Amino acid sequence: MATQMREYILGVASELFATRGINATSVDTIVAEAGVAKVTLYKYFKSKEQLILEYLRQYDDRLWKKLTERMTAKDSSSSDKLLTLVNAVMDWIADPEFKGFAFTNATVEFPLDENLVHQASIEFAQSLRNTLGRIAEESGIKNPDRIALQLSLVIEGAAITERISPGSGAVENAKEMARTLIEAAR
Amino acid sequence: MELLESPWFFRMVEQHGKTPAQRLIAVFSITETWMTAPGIRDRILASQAPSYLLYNCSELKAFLTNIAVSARASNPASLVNQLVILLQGAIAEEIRNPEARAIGEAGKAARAIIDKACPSKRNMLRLSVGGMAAAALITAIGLHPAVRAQWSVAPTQPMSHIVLASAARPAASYNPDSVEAVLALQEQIAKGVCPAPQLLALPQGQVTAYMNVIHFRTPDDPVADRENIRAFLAWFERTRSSECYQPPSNGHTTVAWVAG
Repeated sequence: MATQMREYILGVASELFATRGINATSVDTIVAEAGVAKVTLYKYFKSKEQLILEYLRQYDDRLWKKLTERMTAKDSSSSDKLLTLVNAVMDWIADPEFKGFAFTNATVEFPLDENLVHQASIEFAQSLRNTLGRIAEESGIKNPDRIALQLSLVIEGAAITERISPGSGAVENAKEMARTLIEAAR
Repeated sequence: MELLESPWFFRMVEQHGKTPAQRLIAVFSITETWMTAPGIRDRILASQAPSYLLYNCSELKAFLTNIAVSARASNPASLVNQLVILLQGAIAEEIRNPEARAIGEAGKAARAIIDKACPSKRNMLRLSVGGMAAAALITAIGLHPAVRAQWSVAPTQPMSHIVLASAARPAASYNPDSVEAVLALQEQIAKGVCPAPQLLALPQGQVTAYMNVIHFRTPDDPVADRENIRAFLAWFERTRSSECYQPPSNGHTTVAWVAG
């Protein structure tokens, strides 16, 4: 029961954070939307900051679960692995429910370096780039850091475009761009 | 970010690079320079710039599509979409993390994307030699006495262009009339009938196009030159042609200068 309530409140908060923005969502809004007492929320989350951090962590878990599924589903050769990962990220972006990467949005909302939310979101964004770099290295690309940065810029651009203008076809263009860049890097 | 749709930005891009492909890459280096200007980063952060979507900037995309067409991209619209998505992502990263030099890296990525989208350099060279000016020369030599006179002085060097041009591109695909008009105008200017154009006040592209015609140079970008020549002639007609003074054909001048 306790964990169910915790998950329920986190779920409501996550939806509000994603659709309205984190700063624009007050604890009052969350409890009102969830239909629970404020004390109940504070029983499970000691602050709004903790709620935000949980939301980011859970988002990251879901994203990586999806990406790992795709990476392991097809027994693709090591050279296609990088493209498979990028395409999986692109499909995540193309989902009609996509509202921007939670960690990217959080960095914009919490621009100060010393802020905990800012630090966490930078870390999540970094893990995507690190994974791109690691897989690039495994597939024998000479300068894995460079292709990782290039691909993360393509991903970022597609994410922004698709968030503001859903169904724009940006994802298809971005996939083609990623393929070109990976080929050129070999 | 509105700056990326300003005439200033467009002109900066037009002045960069010898080829259309280089101009497309220059979009990134100019943006990078602009982003390092004092205060720009804070200004973007303060405004709601993150929601400013390059993908929906029709003026910027139209401008870039023109260049992509000149670069002979196999699918100009798709190339431009790719480049603005890349630029959007790079600007976001540059704002968040200036040390990553994201826009510079995006410029390198852009080069690979443009290379893929456009025909190989050898093809580009052959086609551009067969471009408008070379084709124009054929017609001009045939039609214009002034040109014929000039050519008889040094006809040997550009001959290869002419041979290539006739093979590579039909003369009908450019407008010989506007080239004729520029040459006729140049003759009037040389005779002192019409005032010289104020080249410093003209857009760079038009100056280049005009100079290409009067010096019989092969343009780097025949399509853009064609447009520029048209724009130049319209501008001259509008602002300077009223100052042209045609002397009477009977040999007398209509103005008598009386010494005071």
